[in-house]
Amino acid sequence: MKVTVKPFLFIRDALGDQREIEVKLDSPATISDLLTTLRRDYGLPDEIPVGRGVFKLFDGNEVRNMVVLKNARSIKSLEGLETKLEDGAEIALFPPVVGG
Amino acid sequence: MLTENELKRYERQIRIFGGEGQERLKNAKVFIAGAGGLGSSISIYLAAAGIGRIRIVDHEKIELSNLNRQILHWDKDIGKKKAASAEEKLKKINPYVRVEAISETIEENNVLALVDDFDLIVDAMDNFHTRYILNRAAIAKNIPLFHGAINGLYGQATTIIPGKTACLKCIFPEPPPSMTFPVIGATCGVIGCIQVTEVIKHLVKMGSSLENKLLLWDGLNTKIDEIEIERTPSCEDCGWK
Repeated sequence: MKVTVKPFLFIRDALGDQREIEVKLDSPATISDLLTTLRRDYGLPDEIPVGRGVFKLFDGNEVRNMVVLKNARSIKSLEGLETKLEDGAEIALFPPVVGG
Repeated sequence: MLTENELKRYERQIRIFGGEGQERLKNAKVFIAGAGGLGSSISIYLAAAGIGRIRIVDHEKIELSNLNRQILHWDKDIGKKKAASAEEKLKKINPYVRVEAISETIEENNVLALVDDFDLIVDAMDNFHTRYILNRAAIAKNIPLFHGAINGLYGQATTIIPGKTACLKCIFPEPPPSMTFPVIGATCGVIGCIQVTEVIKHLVKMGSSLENKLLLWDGLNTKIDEIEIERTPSCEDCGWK
């Protein structure tokens, strides 16, 4: 299957400034499989330097500071990392912004 | 009715949405949660635009390290309550606006009384704990919530219409980790002004908005993106399943 990954802000920068990335996965596949593939084959790092600080995306296999949406819905309201993917799914990745 | 002075004062924007639109702004009651970085730019531009009644709530006192971005507050105000400082400045910016500044912490048990019969909520908070309280209050009162957040050179904004759009809990079912965030004042200006533009369009009924869209501001590369978002049927705060 093929899914489309849309990274935003500095996660996009870390993936070579690509607005969309088509990723091929063996079926069946989950968000966890997709993230493993992005880290292994596409250079999605565990942490990203931002200004003078570091933004941690992953702690081991746990997602830390990254919002993951599948087809416009948070995976946290679906089945988390075990959320199943289907052909044509769109995955948005962006860092949460908290301050005011 | 707008006075002659008001017609003159708002002439440049009446050219956009007419006297009728300006009347709508004059009759509007806007609740601003927070008088920090976002709250500064939001309240200044809403006051200048002629919102009839503004209630701004913040429990903090002004510190020196606030002054790079919290442009409502000046050197002379260090140590004072942000609410009092906000009230003083906003009344001077536009004496036609009724400003009520309240120095309280927004909590689950006082939020409905604080928001009272106001028409809409503007989120200028710096943490998701209070944002979720505002989200639930907006849903309970069936009034819009205009969300904004910033970090460094980055920011986000969305417009939440209860029953129609994804709410904050749909997008962020769990609070992102709190952190002492770096920021330049201009990021608060960009995001705050986007929120104000959304509020004004909502009130004068013009244009399209950030409904079901999360706008992302990338100040480092000067780019704006939008992410489509959808309501979650099982959402803890606004779900129906």
